[in-house]
Amino acid sequence: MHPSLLLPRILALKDSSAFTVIIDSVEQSASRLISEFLHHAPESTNVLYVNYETLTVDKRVNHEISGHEKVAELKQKIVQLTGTSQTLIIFDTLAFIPEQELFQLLFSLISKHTTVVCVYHGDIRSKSDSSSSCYPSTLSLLNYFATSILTVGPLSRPDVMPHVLEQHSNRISAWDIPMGCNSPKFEVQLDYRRKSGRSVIATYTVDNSSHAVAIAPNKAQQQENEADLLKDLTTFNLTTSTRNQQAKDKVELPFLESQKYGDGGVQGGAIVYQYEKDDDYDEEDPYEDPF
Amino acid sequence: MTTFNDFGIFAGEKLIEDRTFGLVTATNDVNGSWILTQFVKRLGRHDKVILITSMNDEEFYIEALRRQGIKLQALPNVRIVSLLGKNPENLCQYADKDAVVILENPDLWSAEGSMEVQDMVKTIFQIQQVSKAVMCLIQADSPLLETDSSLLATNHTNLGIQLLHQTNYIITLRPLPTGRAEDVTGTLHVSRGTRPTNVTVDEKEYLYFIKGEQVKITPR
Repeated sequence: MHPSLLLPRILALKDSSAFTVIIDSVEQSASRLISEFLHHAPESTNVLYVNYETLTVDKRVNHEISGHEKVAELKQKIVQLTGTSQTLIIFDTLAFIPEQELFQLLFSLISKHTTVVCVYHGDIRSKSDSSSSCYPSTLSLLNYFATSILTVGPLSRPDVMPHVLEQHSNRISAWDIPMGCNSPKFEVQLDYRRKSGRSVIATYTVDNSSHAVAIAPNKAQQQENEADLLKDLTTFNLTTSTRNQQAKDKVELPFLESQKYGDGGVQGGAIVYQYEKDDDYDEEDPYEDPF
Repeated sequence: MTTFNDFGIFAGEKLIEDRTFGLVTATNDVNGSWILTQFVKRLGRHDKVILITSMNDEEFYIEALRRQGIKLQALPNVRIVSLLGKNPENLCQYADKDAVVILENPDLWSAEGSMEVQDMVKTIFQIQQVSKAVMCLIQADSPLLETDSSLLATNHTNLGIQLLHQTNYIITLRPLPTGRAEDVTGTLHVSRGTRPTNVTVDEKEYLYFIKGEQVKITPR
């Protein structure tokens, strides 16, 4: 599948990314990406919002659960409201859940019809606790377990001089938030782990006001360069026009079917054939034993 | 005489909409109490305002308002709660559904250890849930934000970062980066918070100057 389809599929919960982690910062908060999740989620999806720090929760949310509770009680509440329909569970921060209980809670919520999306504020510092210093940090554990990691940031500005960018980040680390941060248009870096274990890395730009999701332009530029390389080499037409390319990118390949969850996990190896309009369907099996 | 050319940001009505949370950060060079006084004075005319301070006593604000030409008694909607030297027990009790709550330096409590950082963040969120609107002032001095592993810096950073992640707007007070000037006290930036609201925040940079009872703000 072309990576340009990946983030839209994750947002629309079409992809079986059961455990998504969003890493954000004060410079670009995850709240706009969360609102994209809520916008793109299918209407039938049951949305649970575990609220620790959101004053006004989006209307799309079906059940708001206050997170400021004991973890065991919280878990019970979430499980009760999950039901059997497709459920999206959002955590607006993970900072309040004790490290020791965090993964136990998250794993107990992940199942074949739930998608867990949690926000991790990347600029929070972990307290170096001497007693558990050999244990990996929450962030590295999340990195390890998540099926996709979305890192939000401001739109990249390749034309800006490095010293200006440095000044910009110095101001943010001094909490002097410069203009233009937390803009409705932002960049999302996706690290998606396929079931095969291969990971796909792609960058997107998301517009929260128009709900448009597009793959970052530098990718398109690369393709143009490829086309340039092939130019004038032969008299054959080896290139694809932008229109061809766009049409090609939009095709959802049939083998995605094989990655779908069935009863008891992934149903690999099944043959899925979609008849096209000119196909001649033959009732008789030509390979049938004639006797 | 008070000159206060506010260019819209202190119209109050515009910025402090219902159910918003704003964070003001200041450093030791530019004390932030003056801006809280301005908000109390301006909002207090038509809104219920509760100012909770860990840093100053009630006298301080009575005097600060007097310098602005207004008596505290003339603002019946305003209540000053000084918890100077006291433990911040059950802060939510001071909140009110119809009141704008202004918190001055709750970071002092987490720094001195009378409250855990996560409890502080939680309490400030709970105050937001039971108030009309909340504004909070915290310090952003560089020793408090250093990346070394001192517990004070880690705690203070985590408090500020988590509060910033709840904001609808941010006001930053800093000294002039180029040094001192005769007619400028510091810079004031208004920027968008991390949480989008229906209210558009007019992102702008200003210079301000305080001399005696005069407060002057000019766009940069």
